[in-house]
Formats: sequence, structure tokens, C-alpha cells
Amino acid sequence: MCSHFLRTIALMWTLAAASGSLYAVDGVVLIDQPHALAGGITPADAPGFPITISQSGSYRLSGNLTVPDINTVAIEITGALVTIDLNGFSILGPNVCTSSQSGGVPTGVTCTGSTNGDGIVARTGALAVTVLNGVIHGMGGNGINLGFPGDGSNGNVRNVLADNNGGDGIFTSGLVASSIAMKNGASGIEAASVSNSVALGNGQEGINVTFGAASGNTATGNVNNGISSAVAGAYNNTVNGNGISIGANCPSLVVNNTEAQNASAGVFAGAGCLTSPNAVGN
Amino acid sequence: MSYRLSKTLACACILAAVPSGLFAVDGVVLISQPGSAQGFPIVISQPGSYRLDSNLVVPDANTTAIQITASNVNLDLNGFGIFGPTVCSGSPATSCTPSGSGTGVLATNPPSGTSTPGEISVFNGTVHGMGNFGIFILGPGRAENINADSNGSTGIAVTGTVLKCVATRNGSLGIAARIVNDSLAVQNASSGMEILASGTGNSAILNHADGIVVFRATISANSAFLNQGDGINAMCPSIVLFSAATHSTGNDIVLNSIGPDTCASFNNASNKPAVIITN
Repeated sequence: MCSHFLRTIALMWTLAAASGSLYAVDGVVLIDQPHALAGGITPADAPGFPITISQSGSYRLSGNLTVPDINTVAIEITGALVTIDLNGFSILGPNVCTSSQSGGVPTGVTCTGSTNGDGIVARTGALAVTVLNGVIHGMGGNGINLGFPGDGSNGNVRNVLADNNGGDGIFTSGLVASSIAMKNGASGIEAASVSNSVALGNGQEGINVTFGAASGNTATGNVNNGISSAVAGAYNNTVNGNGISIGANCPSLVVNNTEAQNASAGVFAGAGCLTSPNAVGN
Repeated sequence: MSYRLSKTLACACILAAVPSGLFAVDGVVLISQPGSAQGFPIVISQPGSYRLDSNLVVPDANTTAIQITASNVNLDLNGFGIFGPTVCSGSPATSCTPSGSGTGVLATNPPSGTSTPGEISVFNGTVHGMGNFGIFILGPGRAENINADSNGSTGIAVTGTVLKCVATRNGSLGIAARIVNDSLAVQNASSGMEILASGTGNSAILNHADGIVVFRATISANSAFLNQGDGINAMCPSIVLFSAATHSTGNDIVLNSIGPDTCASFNNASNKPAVIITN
């Protein structure tokens, strides 16, 4: 009786909240848990998760989003030209990742699971997607997945914290700036370019850049390379306490970095890399 | 004329020029898609802070979306986009149709008859498919956190500063500015970037001409890969340092000495040796 009553009240609250305006005073589409459950955020959006964004425009969280399990995607984007402002809120899943080490060397990150349940994922048709200003925590898959680095689909991320996700923290085709990726099951950040960001204690690479540059970042306690450069540049980074320091597929430019207490030096595969000067104390 | 009257007239002028001009709770003027009677371009003729509250969609490639005729204007695209019909095809882009005279944001600061220009800033949004430029700001200007793609001419042309922008598959240059930092130019039909004063932390990838063209400027920590002209092409006197260029169809790094003007090049990486051309 009591639990039935509480469920009824909860349902009424959900419906009442979801019946509120989808639009902020500045025209941005607002997204919160009740609206996610109700559906209709865009014409292709069915009730419940994932929230499907099929139309270009500006979207903003007005509350946290919580998915029920590690297999569930929170937001999938099928339209071009979409901005999602997390607005300081979080996308939350139940995944928990635990890091291990041996003799001070990071040896692995084990998560509850590793699935395709991304926090935000760009599907076919998505182009020029920007995600900013919030937290993606505990998803089964990648925290953010906006296309292969350097593929031209132009997915960009700023001011995001991605942690305890089963895949990468941030995996995107374009730029990542001023973000933090920590204790994710795979790599912290994979992108064309990464600047002024932090990768801490991730299960594979800390930061992996392809056809771009890593500059001004800190990579600490990651299981494989602190920074990995695939035909790219790595400048002015601090890389400490990783399983491997900075590695590169050449030609790449790896200069002016500070490297200390990494378990092994990086491998430079191929020819044409410039690898000095760096301050190395591994 | 009293201050009160002049203020009233100024307000009336804003409302007439920005047809949907509503004020946000924080006093910023909101801009949305104009009705058929008002039409494009939306003209911003007064200094102030403006913010999109919807996408703007222009009807054809000859239509300019927003024209700024005042100085000291902040235009927040607010995550929205300015969209036109132009599509650039090829990887990298080789042609854009239809082309036209329409620009996404057009600012000719300083306005004619004034002598003290102020900054015009455009930030946080997308400009896609315009017949001409994506963003064109003459005079002190700043474009920040802008995605400019598939525009018929240059994606972002600013005589001031470009920060954290991405220009993809535009019909001419990706980005042209005095200062360009932390930006990316990919698959544009001409060169990825032209930098006239300084550039740091940029990448130019798979552009149809040069990756980064440096005109008497200093660049550091830039990358140029897979461009179909030269990777980094510097007109001396310039300084090129801590940068990487490789997999270019032409040369990876070219330093063009012009008369007595030579370039300085330090700590760069390239697959081919740097080429010095004496003119």
C-alpha cells in the first residue's frame, strides 16, 4: 500500500516535471531525467534511454542523468551540428573501476564491466558535435564517443571530467581541451589534439593523439604510455609515474616534455621523429 | 537631446535592427530566426551583448545571416548554428555548390566614419554551409570555440584572434587571422591556416593546398600532416619552432627568404629536410 502510494507519487512527479517546458529562456533545449524518461526531446526520441538527438541545435542539461545499468547509452546523436552543454551536471552510470599497481607501477584498471553503453555517442550522420562543461561517470562503455581521431567529423570536447567508464574516458575526432580523464578502463583521452588536460590512472594510454598535437597536458599513473603520439606532436607535457613514458609512431615531434618515474621509456616506431630536448628522469 | 531620449532611441534602433530582439534575464539581447517580414541579414548596429536563442537558417547562398556594423559587440552563438545550403565535396574539399555572397557573420569594424574601433567577438557555435565566408571580421575581432564547415569561401577570416576553433572542408582557407591558437583545420579546399602574427598549438590536416602558411610571423608547437601542398610554408622573416610537418605532398617545411629577410627555424620535426627558397 505504502510502496504503491510512493510509486504513484513518484510517477506523478515525473509526469509533472516532464510536462514542463523543454526550452530555456534562450531557446536551448533542456534535458533532465524526467524529460529523458518521457521522450520527445527530438522527434526521433523514444521514452527512456538513450536520449536520441536527431536535430541540430543547442542542448543543455538541467539536471543529472542516471542510467540504470552499464549496458545503457545515455545520449546518442544522429543529427549534425549539435552542442551539448552539460551545464555542470553529470551523466551517471553504475560502473566502478579499480586500479591496481605493483611496486608503484600501475598494472591495470578493472571495471565492473566493459560494454557499449557510452555516455554520449555520435552515430552515423553526426557531424560537428561539441560537448562541454560537466561530468561523465560510471558508464559501461566510453564516457564520450564522437568518432575516430582525425576522421574529419569534427567532434570537440571541453571542460569535461570523465571517470570510471569501462572504455575510454573521451574518444573523439577533433579537439579536447581543459578536461580530465581518470580511472577509465581503457585510455583516458583519444583525440586528434588534446591541450591543457589531465589523464590520471587509466587502464591503457593516458592521452593518445592522432594527426594533431598534445600540448600542456599532465599524464600520471596510466598503465601504458602516458602520452602516445600517432604521427602527431607532443609538446610541453608532464608525464610521470606511468607504465611507459611517451611513445610515438614516427614521424612525430616529442619535445619540451618533462618525464619522470615512468617504469619504462617510450618506443618510437619508424623514422622521422624528433625526440629532444626533453627533461627525462625515468 | 536628453540622455533619456537618446537611450530610448538607441533601444528602438536595436529592436528594429534585431527583429526578434528579446532580452534574456541577464540583459543580453536574444536573436532568433527572423520572420518573413523582417528577413536577413539581421543587423547589429549598436554595441552590446547578443545571444542566439535558435538556429539561423538562411534561404540561399547569397544571404548573409548576421551583419555587425557597430564596434564592441559580443555575439554568443550559444551552441546554436548558422546554416546555409552550400555543400563542399571531396576529401579534401575541392568544390562547393552553390557558392554565393552570403556570409554567416559579417563585421566590417570599424564602421565607416569612426576612428576608434572596438573588439567584435563571436563565440560558441557553428557556421555551416554559407555561400561565402563562415565568419568575416575586419578590424579588432575574436572568434573563439567556433566550428566552421562547408562554407563556400574561407571558414574563419578575422584580422584579430582565433582561439580553439575548428575549420573543416571549407571552399577556400580554413582559418586566416593574425593570431591563431589551439585550433584545427581539416580538409579545406585551399590551405588550412594563414597566420599573420603568431600561432601556437594548431594542427592542419589533409588540406588541399598548404597546411599552415606563415606570413612574417612566429609559430610554435604546430602540426601539419598529410597536406597536399607544403606542410608549413613560411614567408620570411618568420620564426618556426617546435613544430612538426610530415606526409606532405610538397615539402614538409619551406622557408621563403625574400631579399635580406630570412627565417629562423629551430627544433622542428619533418620527414623531409626543410627547404630554403631564396627569392
